Amino acid sequence: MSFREKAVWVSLVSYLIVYGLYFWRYGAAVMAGGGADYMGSLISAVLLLVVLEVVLTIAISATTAIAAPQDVEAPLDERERQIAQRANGPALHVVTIGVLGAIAALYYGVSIALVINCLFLALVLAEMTKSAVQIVLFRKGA
Amino acid sequence: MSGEGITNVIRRLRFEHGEMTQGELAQKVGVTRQTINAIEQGKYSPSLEVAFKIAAAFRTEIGQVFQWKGEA
Repeated sequence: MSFREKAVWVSLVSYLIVYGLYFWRYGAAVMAGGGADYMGSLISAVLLLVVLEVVLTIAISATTAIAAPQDVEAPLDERERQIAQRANGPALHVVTIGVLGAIAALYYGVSIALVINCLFLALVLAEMTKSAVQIVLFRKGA
Repeated sequence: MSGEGITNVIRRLRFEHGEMTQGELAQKVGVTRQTINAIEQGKYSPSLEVAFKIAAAFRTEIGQVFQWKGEA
């Protein structure tokens, strides 16, 4: 597995852990009739994600640097850039669906906090879709 | 991009050039070892620039490395 693929796995796993936990808790709060004052937790989740990604990236960089130091330092090559670009397409579809859902939610008078969280969920799912597509393309050798 | 229709003899050329590893070729060309592996297996068609660099690494012409087997 290349260093780039490991980095994408780190991103995907970080998103799954941090935002899985965040949206699980947010969903529970909404079900319990709350959730309007959840923006503080959102900021905490973003900060936690940054810390988790940095720690995991340092960990994989350190282990890769021992086995193949040139992989860590090398810039993206044409195939890796192409994989990243191809993964943008499906991610854009996810964002589009999320935005349309948020517009519909606004139309039906859903609270602003819920709409913001729906939009944020769309962004998170888009990023995870991008990572997942990249992993599939890396695995296929595309 | 899939390399359907394009074949190559990179594996044989590596063998003929002192059993050059994929990593060594990758370093000469300026791509990752995984990209050389994908090209060698026909899963990825390189850009013209990378194709020329691969040929240059073996001190040969591009047509000696890559061949088109599909329809014109």
